[in-house]
Amino acid sequence: MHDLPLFLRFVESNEIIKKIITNRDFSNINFKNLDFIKEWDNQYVFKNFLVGEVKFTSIRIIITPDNIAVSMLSTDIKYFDEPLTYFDREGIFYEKEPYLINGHELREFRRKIGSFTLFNMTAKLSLLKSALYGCIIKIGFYN
Amino acid sequence: MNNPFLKSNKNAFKFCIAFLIAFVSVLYSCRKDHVNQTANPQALTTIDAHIPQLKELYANGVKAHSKATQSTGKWYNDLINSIEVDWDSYTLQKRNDSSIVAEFEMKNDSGLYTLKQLDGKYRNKTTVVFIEKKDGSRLSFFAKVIEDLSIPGSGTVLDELHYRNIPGLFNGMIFYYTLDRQFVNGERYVNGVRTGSVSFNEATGGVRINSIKTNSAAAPCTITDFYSYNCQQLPSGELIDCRYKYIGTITTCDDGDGGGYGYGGDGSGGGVPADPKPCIPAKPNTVDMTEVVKNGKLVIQSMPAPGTGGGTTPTPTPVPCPTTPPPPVLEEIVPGTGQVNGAKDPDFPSNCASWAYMQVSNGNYQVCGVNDLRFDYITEFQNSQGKLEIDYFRAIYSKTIYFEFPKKRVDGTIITSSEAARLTALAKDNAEEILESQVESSPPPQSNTETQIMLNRYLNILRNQIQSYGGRITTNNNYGTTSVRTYTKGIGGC
Repeated sequence: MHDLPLFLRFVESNEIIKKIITNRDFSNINFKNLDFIKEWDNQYVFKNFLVGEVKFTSIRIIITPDNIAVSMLSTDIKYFDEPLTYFDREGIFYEKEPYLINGHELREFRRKIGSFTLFNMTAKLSLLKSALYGCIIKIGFYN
Repeated sequence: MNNPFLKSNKNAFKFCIAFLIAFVSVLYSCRKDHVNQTANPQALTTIDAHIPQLKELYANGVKAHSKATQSTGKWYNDLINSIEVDWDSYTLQKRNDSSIVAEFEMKNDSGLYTLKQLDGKYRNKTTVVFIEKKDGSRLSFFAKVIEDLSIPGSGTVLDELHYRNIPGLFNGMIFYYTLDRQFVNGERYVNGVRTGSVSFNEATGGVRINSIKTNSAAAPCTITDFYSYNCQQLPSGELIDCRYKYIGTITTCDDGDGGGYGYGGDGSGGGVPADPKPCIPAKPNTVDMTEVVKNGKLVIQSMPAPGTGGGTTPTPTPVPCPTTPPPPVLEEIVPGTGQVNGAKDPDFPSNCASWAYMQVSNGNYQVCGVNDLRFDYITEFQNSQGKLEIDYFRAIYSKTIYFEFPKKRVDGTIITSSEAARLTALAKDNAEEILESQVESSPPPQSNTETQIMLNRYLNILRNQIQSYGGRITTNNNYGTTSVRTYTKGIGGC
């Protein structure tokens, strides 16, 4: 367990996320004290959701036959800027073409951190950063 | 350095530089007078008298390529597309290490080279540089500067940039060539600090690489597209038909890897071998002052401190500490106003407005079509040399893709068109991530069929995703819908 980088230890220790991922559904979740939006039977968005030390603006979890997609949005960009601290890796860093919005360029950066084993599944992790949204941590779980 | 000019014109060069030294020595000895008393810039214009010697030396150096339009056979050498020196426009530096630098701009330095297809975000200039060092060694070469103004808030400092006198706000690249237009090396600068080495890739042609390479996770090398930007000029002077043309790629490697760090710009033909170097804090270029004569007018310019790229002796220079970009400021975005601005998509989510679902009278679906649906992914793999390599792939469907989404859920509740659009957009983006993961586990064949295979593969994944909502996708307009939009990315929109 402790071979996992710090952020994935946060994820692994979160009981709600753990239940959703390991059960591949939301049926055993107690939604009573959660701020959430049900988008589909197997697709929820949790608002102001605490994972580890950071309260994420939103966490969307989509369960499909092909994967489980977890997208964690935060205005705190430290996860992107300090990858070694939270993910033990720099990852592959790159910038794609920017967007033009009202003539203003909006840049976006990505770190492709790579694969880990989490909840006995392959978890592929990438980070995004942009002035548009702050930081997004994406975890894709694959069998 | 492979420079016949230096070999065959040693004496002439020496003679000429002797004049320069004598001239600058006079200039230097008068510095206090200029600074503390009444300056007399006109007294500094005597460099003009020695230009004929420099002209002769230059002519001998470039004679192998006397025709400005003559191609060198390599696209990146042809970036030096004018060899006509503007002998009336020059700067002269007496540097702290007693070397003397004379730098002249080029006439008719036409054509613009860019790293992205962004109008007004790049400026170029080409100069020819003559140096006499304290130890008597001599250098002469071209310097091609590509200033990158695409960083928000940046402003041009191109006119203030001279050889090894890099303004603190300079962002971009500098490429060095011998006088016979052979590329030597290149450097990348961020906020006036050298951050990496740059080289050109041999391959060119109509196929974009659009890929990124890396030698190690800690010190990536990045491959970037390189463009020329040219216009037709009407007799009236008006520029028309301005177009970007992809001409090749460059590889940029961070200095932090200790590899490939060459002493850029000395024209010595490849730089010194790499060795580990401690980083030093980047300093503003305000430590030492050096006289610079610009077109006969004295300008006191700040020079980089030794160790920040300011020296001209061919010894390893400490690597500047990496700079941390400022944190982003969240911005208010008007939904749906974004547009793709280049060949590589941002990872922004799909714009819900791409799917304008309309109810159809027959059947249980709401339907829409999407033109130019596209997807992209980044994959990493080990190449034949065992190095980690990363490819960027993007494909666009030439046919309209039709989406059929249920009108109701299983429990009978209505699914609005905007709900359907939002779910479809999420499914589309998730399908991209699944494809990226699948490709890494099972790469496609490296052949001309790759694109078609990937188009089919992605469509199958997307089909599965839409099916999980009870929907369908097809290339047939089964319901004769006229609600067809072009695919875009962006926040909001539905």
